[in-house]
Amino acid sequence: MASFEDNFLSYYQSQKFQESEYDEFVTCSVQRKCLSQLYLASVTLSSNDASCLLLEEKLQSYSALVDERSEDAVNDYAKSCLTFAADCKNDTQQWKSNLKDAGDTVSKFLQPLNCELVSKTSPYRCSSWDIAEENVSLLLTAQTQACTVMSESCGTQLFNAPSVSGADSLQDISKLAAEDDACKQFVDLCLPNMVEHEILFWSRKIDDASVYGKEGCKAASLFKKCNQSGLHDQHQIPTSLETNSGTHHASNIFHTAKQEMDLQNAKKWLNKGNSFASHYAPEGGSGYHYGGQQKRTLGTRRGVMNKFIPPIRPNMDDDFEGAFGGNQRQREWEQNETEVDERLKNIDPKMVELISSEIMDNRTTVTWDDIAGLEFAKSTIQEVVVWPLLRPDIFIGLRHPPKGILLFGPPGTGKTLIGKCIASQSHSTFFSISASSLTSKWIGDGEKMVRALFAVARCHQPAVIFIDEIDSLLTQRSDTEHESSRRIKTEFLVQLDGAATGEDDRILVIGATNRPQELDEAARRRLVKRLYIPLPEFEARRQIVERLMSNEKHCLTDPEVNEISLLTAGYSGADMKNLCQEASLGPIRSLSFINIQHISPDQVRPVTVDDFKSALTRVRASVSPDDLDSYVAWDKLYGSGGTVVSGT
Amino acid sequence: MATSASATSSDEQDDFGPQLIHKLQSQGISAADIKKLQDAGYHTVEAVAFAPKKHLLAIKGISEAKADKFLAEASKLVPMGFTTATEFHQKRSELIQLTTGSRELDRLLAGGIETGSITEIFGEFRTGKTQLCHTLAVTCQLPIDQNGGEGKCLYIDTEGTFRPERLLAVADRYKLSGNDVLDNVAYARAYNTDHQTQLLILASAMMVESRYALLIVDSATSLYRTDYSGRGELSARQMHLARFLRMLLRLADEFGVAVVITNQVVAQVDGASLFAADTKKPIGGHILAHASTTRLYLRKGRGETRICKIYDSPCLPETEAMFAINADGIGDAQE
Repeated sequence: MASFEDNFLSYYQSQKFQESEYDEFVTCSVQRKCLSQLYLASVTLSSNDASCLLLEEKLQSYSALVDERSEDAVNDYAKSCLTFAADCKNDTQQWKSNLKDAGDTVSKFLQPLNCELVSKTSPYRCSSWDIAEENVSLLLTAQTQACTVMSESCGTQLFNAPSVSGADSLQDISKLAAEDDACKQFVDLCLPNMVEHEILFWSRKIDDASVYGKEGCKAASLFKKCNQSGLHDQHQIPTSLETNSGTHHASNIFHTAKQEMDLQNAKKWLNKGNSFASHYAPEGGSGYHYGGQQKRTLGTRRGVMNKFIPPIRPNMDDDFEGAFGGNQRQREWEQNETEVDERLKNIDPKMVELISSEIMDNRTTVTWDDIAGLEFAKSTIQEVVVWPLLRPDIFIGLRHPPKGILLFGPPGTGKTLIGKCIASQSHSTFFSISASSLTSKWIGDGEKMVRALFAVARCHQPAVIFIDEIDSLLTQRSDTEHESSRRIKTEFLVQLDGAATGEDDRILVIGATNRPQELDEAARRRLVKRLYIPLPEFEARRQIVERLMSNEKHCLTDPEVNEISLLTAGYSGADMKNLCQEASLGPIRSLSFINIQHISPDQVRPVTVDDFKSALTRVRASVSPDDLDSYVAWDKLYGSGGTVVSGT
Repeated sequence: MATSASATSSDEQDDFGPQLIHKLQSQGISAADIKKLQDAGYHTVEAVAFAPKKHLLAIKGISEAKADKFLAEASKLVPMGFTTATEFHQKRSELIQLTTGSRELDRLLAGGIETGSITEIFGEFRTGKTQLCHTLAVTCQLPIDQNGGEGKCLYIDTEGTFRPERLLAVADRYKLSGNDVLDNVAYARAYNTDHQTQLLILASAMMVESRYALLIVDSATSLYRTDYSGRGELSARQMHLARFLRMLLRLADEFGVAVVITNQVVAQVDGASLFAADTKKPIGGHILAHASTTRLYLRKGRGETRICKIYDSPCLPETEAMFAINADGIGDAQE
């Protein structure tokens, strides 16, 4: 160990004294050698970290020497390089070694030189000074390779520039260079390791061996330079991006909504193929393809910095005006509204819509034949409703059909059924109005609703307004009633036949009630045809029984039906239906509880007369004869007549 | 690349809109100084003219003498003196208003969202703030004769609620090409209040490049609510918010874009709330209240309907209108 220290000291001193004040190049190379010696010594005698600490200052002074850019300085050779490299974007003027300000760069620089490597290469030379050069060359090789990769990525121009210019400048250097064993040896060791093509290129160009040495040194320092600049460049790129806050940055942060959607879709519909296309299907089937399978483009997608392009679809230009302001449905609705505008102008559209919803569309098919008996009522209604529809040209003037029909009679005699029948048989607009559709919690809205009702009906001529239980709306006006209900009544009367109503309006109001005596007299006057719907007669009851029982299994003969019809005098239509329901339950009641669970429907015995007779004891007539008398009396007073009264 | 694009666009934009900062070069200001101004976010002559001297001095490498020169030259190009009310009235009548999609709402706003000023929309959640923003992002691209703005839209999203498919639905309603509509919307997500402010600097750079009609910040205050907490940071928060709003106003002034910001509400839970029926107040305090030109209060109605109330406006009466959130954006309430 002592010999090593002696060796080192003597060599170090001899080197140190060679330092020349006149020649920067010599100083440089001497310093470098000294440094390598120092490094090796410190590594051998102490730890890696300690050597870093020791050498930091010296390395910095060395790099400063190399970086110095005055006339005749070491760095001067870079001039020609710089002229070549000027075309490159990288700021070559700013080249600088990274050693000064990057502590980790220093340690990185020193990293490959560990003791293992030293001992592996040549153990016996550990004590000698020249092994240091070998290690340095190894290190340089590694760095050169890194540099090559770096500079290749930077661009071939940058790469070529130093090598060519380097070769030129080296010829000058070779004149100045003194013969140096160390250099020679360095090159000898260097060459096998440095298989870089630049070295070969230079070696081919210049023959002289002594020049080689200097060249090698210079090349090495040049490579280091390259490497540093490469590092520097690398370091430079992010900062340049940062400072370039203008367009670069903007395009990074802001992106178009289209890109955002692609991003979101990619997250949402990952590996789901085309499912998004079905998720968003634009109305009208103008199919786009979003998400899933992207339509491929030439990479000319517009970015965030592009100009505004009006997003109007070219083929839509002509009807754009119409399309603007809403979709198809909305437009149609508006058109409908404007069509009837003249008559509905002063009426709240909300009310119009409410009334329109009262128009019955789903017509259950009820035929005139479904109504048993009531021949006079049926014929009157046909005359008033059906014929004018068929021949409107005949029913004018005096033959104009009446505007109102009142159907009255005891409950359950088919008044509502007649209404249903009119709805299904007359091909007119059928409004089914009850008190609830005309009254409102707001004062004044009720009469407006009545007005709206007639206005809408006028728009939909011919129209039938059927008011079931009309007594709820048009009772006798009295002192005790509320003001608002009276106003609804009077409005109704005005609309029904007032100063504003036209002669040719084809609106028919049909009221149904079982308390005709409570009707207001003015309403009574306006409901011109007052038809008494009496209890079903013998023949009608027969029909009812036959019709109801036609769907059931029974064993009723004609005389038996006649007998039933005779027994049910005073029964209303609803009572008859109840009776038949009760009778049809008779066969079921005769079964025991066990049988009911297992019996098949066709095994039930048919309905017999006895069932009816027992049912008659359970179902009684719901209308009292006294009530009937009042109806008959009212009918005599006000009715349109024609009905054969057969109360009993 | 960017400079060449702006150079080509400068001759188009000479007759209207903001004047590019390169115009100052003809007034004897060096290209290097203009570059410095651009880097600091000043892209138009107006931006320089409207900036306080203090801000110009804050730019690296601008001395006091230079700042004075900038201001003097910029104010030569930008009229900043007095005008008559007649002239101003004439100018205001030429203002573009962006339709909201609902005729009722447009009537309430006397035409729509006003350009060149800040409109604040606040309300509880699910009151339609974001939906209104989405609809506006499309309607601002409509031609001017259809109450659009014929410009692009810049959308800054702080809550992550931006959904491009909603734009497509609205585009379909107006029979616009969906792809073009999406391409005309520049979107950025803001992650904190500093970032949110930083985005505005980028926005001004982008607005120089092409014509923008609308700038949306949805929502402007949500990040402030969490980035600053408690009374201790209240002053810092309000100052930051004020700077942000000032920049918005600057953009509205410079580029004439409509600025729409949304705001959140806070419930008043102390004693006073017992007597007041509606305890919701917009957040942001007086600073936001003073900065926004028009404030709209949204609240939920029945079903899809929403009610918009003018909370504060220099010219509109305090009335209400009802609109609806349909599948195809904001529309009129049915029945």
